Amino acid sequence: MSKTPPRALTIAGSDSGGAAGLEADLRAMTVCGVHGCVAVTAVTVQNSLGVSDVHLVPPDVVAAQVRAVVSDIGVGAAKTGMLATAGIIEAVAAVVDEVGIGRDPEQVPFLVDPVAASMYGEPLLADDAMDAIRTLLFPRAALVTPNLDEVRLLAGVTVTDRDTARTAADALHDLGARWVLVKGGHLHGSPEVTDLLSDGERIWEFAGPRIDTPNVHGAGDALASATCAGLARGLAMPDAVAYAERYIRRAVAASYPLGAGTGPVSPLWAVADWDRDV
Amino acid sequence: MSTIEHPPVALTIAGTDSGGGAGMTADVRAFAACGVHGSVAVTAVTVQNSLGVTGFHEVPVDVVAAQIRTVAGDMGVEAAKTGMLASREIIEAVVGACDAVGIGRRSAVGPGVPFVVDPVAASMHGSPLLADDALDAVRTQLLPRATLVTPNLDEIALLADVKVVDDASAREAAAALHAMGAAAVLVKGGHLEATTGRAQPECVDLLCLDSGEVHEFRSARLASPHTHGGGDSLAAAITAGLARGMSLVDSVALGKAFITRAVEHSYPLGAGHGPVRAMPM
Repeated sequence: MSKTPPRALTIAGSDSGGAAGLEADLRAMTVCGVHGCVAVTAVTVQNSLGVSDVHLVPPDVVAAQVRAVVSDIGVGAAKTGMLATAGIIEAVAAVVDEVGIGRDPEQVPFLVDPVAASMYGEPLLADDAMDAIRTLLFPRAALVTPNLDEVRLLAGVTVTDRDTARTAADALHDLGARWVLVKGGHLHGSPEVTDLLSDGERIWEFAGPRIDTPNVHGAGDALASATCAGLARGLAMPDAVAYAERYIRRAVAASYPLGAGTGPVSPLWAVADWDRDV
Repeated sequence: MSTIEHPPVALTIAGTDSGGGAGMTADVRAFAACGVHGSVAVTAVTVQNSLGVTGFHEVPVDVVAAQIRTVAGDMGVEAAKTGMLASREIIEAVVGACDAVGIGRRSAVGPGVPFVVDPVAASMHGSPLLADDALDAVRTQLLPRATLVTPNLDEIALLADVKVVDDASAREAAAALHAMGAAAVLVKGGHLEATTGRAQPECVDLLCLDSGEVHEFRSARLASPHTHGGGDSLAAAITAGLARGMSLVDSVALGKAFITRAVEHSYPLGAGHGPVRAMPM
């Protein structure tokens, strides 16, 4: 028997293809040494070509999952993925308040990954839900991790370079998030990928070479989950993000083609030694 | 890209466990630990922690079937397993979709890819996870399609009405499940101590093939109370072996080695039963 590892919670949708969503979260958390718990918000019918159907979980069942996990198992950090509707977002905002997950230092850190669309552009969020993310989740967020499309939708800023990335970070900070990570991965044409972390005053930049692969399904989820795992293990925010940046670089480098569309980033590099042993 | 080929794809058709210890959450970890890409058809969302199941949301049957078709149609599936299939309607939908895409020993396109049926009938806390009429659907619809069925002793009592107390009754149980159509039966002896009240120094699983061959898998019984998700993880690791093209006997050996170590490294979690560990943490 071993000792209890740190725990983290993902509040997210399931991806039947197993590349993104809570499946990507669980794998990233496990590889990062954290026991992952889940509050399922939606069941998507999805493969490498896209999302063909979504079944929503009732908001009270979403909230009940969060309560069951926190009251018994306890978590060191929590993150959101696809929240689908304003009703689910309202239920999540209420239950995180109730169980002590939020933005303040004495609370369990709450990471909001504002998933608005699938990587194919299919909306994963009802129209009124974007407003709910802005007004209900951002003021509760220890960290928000939008990509450039989500930055444009949430803050109305089109990021094209370092200056506009800073403008975006300030705008998102003004919406109430304690920390903002502006992910530059969708800024094509640049040889480097730069993610910008800000607490409203200081700036950290995480730059790395752009890895030439089309198979990046689940990359955003994996980055957020690895950050969440870092926080659950007690790392300070800039260290948790740096840890996750190292994780995602390895996972993108190990990505593989799967199906006729976009393949996933892979956590399997981390289990190679374990696998050989069995 | 460092990898051109993708890893084999395995599919679990199962419920979620919010506590992250069992169900498809355990399967996803076991698949990854065994080097396969795990895909999922979610059948139910459970509200659950280390103390038990307090809530339950069933996924509509057409959504369960659509997940199976969508994954198999695009990525291909090399092996599949079932976990919690809560109702007769879900079992029928699963059988229909598996037949259509070629999963199972009896499918619309001839013999399909390996299909491991883990007949989850109750949670380890004793909460029923299967409606009564679903048991009959397991017998008449799932077992005839199963490459391997992996019941524990409680599930054997429910499905085959045999009380396993020793090697002879274990073989009798396997024969009864064979007669219902399963190609191979793994009788898991893990619960034998509780069933018979006699101390069992070893954990003996019996693999009975349709050729009549019987293989014994022995391991030392570990004292850990933290075995939540153990059955799921074993079935998932066997499925991963089959997806990798290993024989059934080798896949069960891999599963047994995997679960023995996962129990050895299990951990306390919450006030109740903690989970087995798929990977070092």
